[in-house]
Amino acid sequence: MVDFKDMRFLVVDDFSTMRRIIRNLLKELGYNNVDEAEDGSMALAKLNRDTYDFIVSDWNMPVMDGLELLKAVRADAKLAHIPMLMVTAEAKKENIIAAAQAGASSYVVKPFTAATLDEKISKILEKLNK
Amino acid sequence: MNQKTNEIDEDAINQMIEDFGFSPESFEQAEHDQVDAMLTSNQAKEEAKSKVMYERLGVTVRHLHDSIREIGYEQKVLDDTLIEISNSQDRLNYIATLTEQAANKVLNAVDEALPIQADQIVKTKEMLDKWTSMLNSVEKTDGLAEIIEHSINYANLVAENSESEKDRLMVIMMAQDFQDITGQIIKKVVGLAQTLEIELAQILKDCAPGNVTIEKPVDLLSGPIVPDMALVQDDVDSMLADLGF
Repeated sequence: MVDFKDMRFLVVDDFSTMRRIIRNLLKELGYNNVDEAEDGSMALAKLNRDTYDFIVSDWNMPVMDGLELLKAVRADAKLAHIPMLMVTAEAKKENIIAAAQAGASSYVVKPFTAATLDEKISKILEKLNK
Repeated sequence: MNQKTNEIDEDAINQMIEDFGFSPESFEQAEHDQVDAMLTSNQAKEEAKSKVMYERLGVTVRHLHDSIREIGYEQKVLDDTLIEISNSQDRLNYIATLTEQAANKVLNAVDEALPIQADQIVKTKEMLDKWTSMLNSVEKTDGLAEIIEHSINYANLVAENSESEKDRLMVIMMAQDFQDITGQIIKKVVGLAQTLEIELAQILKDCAPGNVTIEKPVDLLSGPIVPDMALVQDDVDSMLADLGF
């Protein structure tokens, strides 16, 4: 298992503001290795090119949304093991059920706090380490 | 709606029925005739049904157009509404641009300020360590000890303040997430206004006198979910120009 702080994150969101915020939050939590993608398809291209240890993704994005990305990641044997945290403004019950069924590692509803993000990531990593 | 308008509507319906050349009774008869004649196959039956449905839809739409005219919504009003909708889209997009710019300015400032505070904390703690070990090697009665203690207290305060400042900067940064939420909502409303604008432009086109041809009117409606603003506006503009507005 790699040292948590060396983990490579991929932040997927169509809004640059949100990407910057999540990147800064991750940095504050000690994760300095963060890359960004603007939508699901760009994320998938990066995932196929480089190695990532953790995906933080929005849901509602043009071209390829977060749920499609999640399904694509889970369907790909090379990528299926990567934990994926959904950070999204889509907050209906059905959304959360759909994400869980598709294999999301956890779900954070926007607007969120730094503490929530920290808690969810820590929980996912704890499970991974078991 | 007052009585007078109702009467006008009634007249409009009658006029419309006359224009179309059939009454509700003849309409029903026509439907039966058509269906009976085409009973030879199920497919033909379905076609007959949908033909009747489209004819009825046509009557309804014509009725709506006529009623709108009768109650005073002239083309000029529709045209003004179109321009208003277009202006509203521009304004909403402007809000989206301004808020994004503002959020980015704040994030830029936070990106500059955060590492400075972090650096200040590290350097202050280094200085604290040096002063503390020096304090152990000077005589307590010495005036120097008093200065060192004073410096240590001050350095502690600086470190504390920098820590609080970092927390405040994080709060300022997190507050910029409004732009993501408002941006998404604005995008949705602009999309909605755009659909309305295209529908209205279509009504204008349908009501225009004579044969007005416009470029790819159907493509306009089957565009991407988040259409490119400028292109669609161009289409609407050329459509309006063709109509003489």
